[in-house]
Amino acid sequence: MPEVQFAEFARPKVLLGRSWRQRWPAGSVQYVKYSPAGTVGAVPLDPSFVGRTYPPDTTYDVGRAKIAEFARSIGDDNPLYRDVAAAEQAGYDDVIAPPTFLTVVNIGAINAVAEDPELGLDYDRMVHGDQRFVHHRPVRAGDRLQITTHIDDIFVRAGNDFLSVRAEITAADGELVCTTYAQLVVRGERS
Amino acid sequence: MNVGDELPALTVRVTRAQLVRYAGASLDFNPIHWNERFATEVGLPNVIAHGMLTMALGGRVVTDWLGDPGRVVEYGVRFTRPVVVPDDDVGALVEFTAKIGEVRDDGTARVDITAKFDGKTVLGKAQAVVRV
Repeated sequence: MPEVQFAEFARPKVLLGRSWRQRWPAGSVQYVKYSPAGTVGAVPLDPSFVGRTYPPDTTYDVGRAKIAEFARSIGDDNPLYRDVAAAEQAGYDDVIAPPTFLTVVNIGAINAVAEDPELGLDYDRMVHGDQRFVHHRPVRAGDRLQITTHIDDIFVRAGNDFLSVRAEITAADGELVCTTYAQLVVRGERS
Repeated sequence: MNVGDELPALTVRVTRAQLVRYAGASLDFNPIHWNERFATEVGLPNVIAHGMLTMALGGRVVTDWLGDPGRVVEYGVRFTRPVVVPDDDVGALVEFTAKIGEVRDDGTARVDITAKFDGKTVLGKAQAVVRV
């Protein structure tokens, strides 16, 4: 079993202060191996939620400045991220985005699941296990993106709940731009 | 191109300044990535880098090599270990290497990426599929 990294996603509505401390109290274990000694199963997530879909609730407009800002934040000076003429010369309609840029909208997919009151996921113990982007075409400035989120799988392994979340990110004309896959892990409660 | 061919390596010193910049750009404001007091209170050794930042830096090895990032058709990683970022001007040294793992009949290739910090890998099964 692989290790998983502690929560990679901030819930944007609650970023600071008390709520964070409630979630991760002082001294709580942040890096957990699956099946830690002393783990007992929490109430497992209801597998009947497999197949549940969360429709788009907003539109994300991809801007040139945001792409350039993201590229700079990862130290990437590729001209196709910031020079329209270079992008056009490479055959694109506008500047394109780095392969992980859609993390800025994918966070919405994860939150759609994490905040579903019917599912009842314990956000306190959720970690981001893995992430994958499948690009059907490059994201480019001017895209108006919508995200539809699906729960593909729920299973229990060694006392931890695993959720496989898929998000389809489409452009305004309905064209599928990217499919993202995230595995969320909800750690079992410690005895 | 052959299986086993190595891509040019990339070494990055991840600093606190970069974490702040990435937090703003990615909209991930989790304080474990910028607030040492908070990070240590919850049991971390220090502020840690965003896993998605490490993933993005690993992607640079591939896109720097390709030139055209639009040729990346798939990219995925597992988050395995943290990159701990000290409060100094040196930062955390993360070394990325990559090699061709598979050349496919459909005009694509799989690139296998390794990310190391402090002598240990920090990403698992980091793979990109690219049009070649």
